[in-house]
Amino acid sequence: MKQREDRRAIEGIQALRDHNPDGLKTLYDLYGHAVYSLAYSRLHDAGLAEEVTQDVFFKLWKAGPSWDATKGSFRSWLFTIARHATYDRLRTLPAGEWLGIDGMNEALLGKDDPSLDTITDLDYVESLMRTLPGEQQHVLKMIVVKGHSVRETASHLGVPEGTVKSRLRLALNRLRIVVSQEEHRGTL
Amino acid sequence: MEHCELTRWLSGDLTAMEKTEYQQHLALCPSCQNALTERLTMDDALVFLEAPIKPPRSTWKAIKNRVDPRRPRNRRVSYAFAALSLGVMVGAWSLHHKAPPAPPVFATNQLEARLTSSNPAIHGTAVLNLTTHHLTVRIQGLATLPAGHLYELWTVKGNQEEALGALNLKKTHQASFSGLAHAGSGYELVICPTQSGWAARTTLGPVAAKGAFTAN
Repeated sequence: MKQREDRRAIEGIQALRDHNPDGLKTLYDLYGHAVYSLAYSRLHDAGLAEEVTQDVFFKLWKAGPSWDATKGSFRSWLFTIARHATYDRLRTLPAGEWLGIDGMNEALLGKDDPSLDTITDLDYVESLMRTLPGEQQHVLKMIVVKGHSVRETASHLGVPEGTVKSRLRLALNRLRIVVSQEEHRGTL
Repeated sequence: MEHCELTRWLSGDLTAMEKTEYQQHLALCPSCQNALTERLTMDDALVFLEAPIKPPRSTWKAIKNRVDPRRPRNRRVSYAFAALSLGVMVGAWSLHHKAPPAPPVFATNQLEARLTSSNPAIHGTAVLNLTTHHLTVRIQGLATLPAGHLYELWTVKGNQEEALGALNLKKTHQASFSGLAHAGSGYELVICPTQSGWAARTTLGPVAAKGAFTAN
């Protein structure tokens, strides 16, 4: 499955290098959901998320041909571009709307957040995610990916809130190792 | 202060007093700031990998128009070429017959559609310029949608449907669209809300209003 995705991505990039818009459509079909989901999860606004998605793929149209496989997988590279675009747009919003997190603001996030320039190895994150026990994966997906609260997740799973928090903490600690160990392998 | 406070903060589990204390601490603690950026990176990576939300169908259309505006430009060129050719032919015919040129005839070059709904409060008009393919839509009475939802404009002909983009809905319940549309007589315009909520997949909602193009 992943090999097929990688093969199609390579085909898309080759088409971009020939200035063929069909290549961009291939990449959009592969990663449009991912870019939009990331933007929406942080901006909490369909219109802004759509604008960011457009900007990311327009940038891809311009910069995609220069993608360098030695800096990481294409998916990881695109993730970095999408994060940059999302957080750049976030900085144009009032502090109260930041990330949907009460009390979050630019000072806390850090203006020159180096993590935005770090290419996170998504393949490694994905493989590590698969090694987590099923109940931890479930909690992670409900809370982090789908944005449910601890209480909603506990109610859905029929377990105490303390159990949900415990599973979440164990899963996050395991995955945190990945991000902590990431090396700054280059910037865009 | 332990990093588990970060998880409790992001989960909304801190009391107001605890939250204030934690944020004051966070502003001064590089270690906790690192923990925050790590957590945001990880959350973003998981969302990117799982990709739970489908973008509105108008998104690709907008991207395509930005990177590949050849279709409208080619059509404009072909229309201009046709007009020029016609002018040359008419000129040649006029010279040959030594007759005064005929007065210019302005053909109807636009189509109109009345947009209606089962709700009589919703009504509007759409005007399509057949030369430039520019479409202008104005409609009023559309209900305000919850945050994260929007109205999309579509053209439909037979089994073919194409998203043109999102409508700009104002607080006065008036909405508008201005952009390119490759449509013509027999095409139907459809406005419908997309339900694009966090943790919910995008689905095409019920038709809010529609209308068909007819010649003037």
